[in-house]
Amino acid sequence: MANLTAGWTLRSATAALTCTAAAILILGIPFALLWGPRPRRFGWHMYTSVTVGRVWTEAPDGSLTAVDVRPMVATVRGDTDWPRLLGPALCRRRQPAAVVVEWRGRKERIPCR
Amino acid sequence: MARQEGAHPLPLTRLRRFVERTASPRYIAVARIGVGLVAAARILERGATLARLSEPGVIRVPYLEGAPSIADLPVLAILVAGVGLAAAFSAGLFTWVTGSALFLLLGSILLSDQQLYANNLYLLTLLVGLLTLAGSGAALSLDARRGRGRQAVPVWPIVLLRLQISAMYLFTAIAKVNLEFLSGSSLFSTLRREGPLAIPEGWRTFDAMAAASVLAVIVELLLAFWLWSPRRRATAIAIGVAMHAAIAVWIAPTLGLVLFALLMFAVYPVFLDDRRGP
Repeated sequence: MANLTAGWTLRSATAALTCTAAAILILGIPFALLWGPRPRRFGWHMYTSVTVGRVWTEAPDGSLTAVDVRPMVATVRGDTDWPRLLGPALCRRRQPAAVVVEWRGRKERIPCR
Repeated sequence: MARQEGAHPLPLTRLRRFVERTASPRYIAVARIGVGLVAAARILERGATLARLSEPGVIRVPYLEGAPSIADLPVLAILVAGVGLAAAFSAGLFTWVTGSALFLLLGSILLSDQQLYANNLYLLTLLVGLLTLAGSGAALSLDARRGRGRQAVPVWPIVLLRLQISAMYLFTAIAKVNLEFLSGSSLFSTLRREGPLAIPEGWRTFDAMAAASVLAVIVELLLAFWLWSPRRRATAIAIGVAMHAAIAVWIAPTLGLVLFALLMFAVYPVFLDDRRGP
């Protein structure tokens, strides 16, 4: 044990811990984000996909109306969580039966209560 | 049998020796000057999104429901504070304080709303934090002129800076290995189509876009590793400068990519100095 701690100071131990933790985060966060849909924030997924979502409101009779979301958002990015972003907001503002969001190749229907 | 320090030291001993190593602060000081200037421009550029978020009718998307948002503050105050801190950091004035405050401000912008996220803002925030941790105000700074300079700074934050740059190139290259990017469709849809720098219509063929996309992945992979190699570093920096310049010139939107290119040019010097200080 004495052999392990020989030469260490509080300063060098703090530096070693900080350095090791930072290196794990620098490599670990983007590695973890490789497994799953892309692009995702904090994963360095620049230009991996340029697909942005499409959004419709669904009337009680089931008919769909396309929604231009640009007036409602600050930026349109592929890594933005569109269903979470737009579903509840459109339900509140336009009061349709549901909001339909196409994002990352999947269509999701969000019923409005 | 206990292993001794010497030719084959214990991993913990090697780690201790590593964190005790020092280097000249000159190259990280150069990086600090450039990164600070880019930070000032980036904060001004984010001002448009901040202003947009404060408009009625625009949706807020916080990471944590109910968390306070920097978008609730007057945009002008954020811009003045941000540019002032970035300028002071770049000049090396009270570098530890201004760097820490700038890191917190950039982090607040980044994390207060999902719509404020941008990869280059994320990178900028991390670089400001690491340059502050590295003691980049030790040279070429107003702090140094005030007698607070140092001949040597710890190596380990500089290695973290290098690791961050490499990780960005490595993971963006890996993430681009997918059909949408390698087919060239991502590149095709983002190429500049107007103005004197627009790529001619005849050059925007399927084969050319796919080839350029594959080349981009290869270049990013090379940069992730070659920047560490003393023998290949000059080549890597030349390739990196050419790649970022090409991206800034030929891909839209322009301002964000020009700032990203300038940020990368500013941090390449952290790979240059391997010598130990006194």
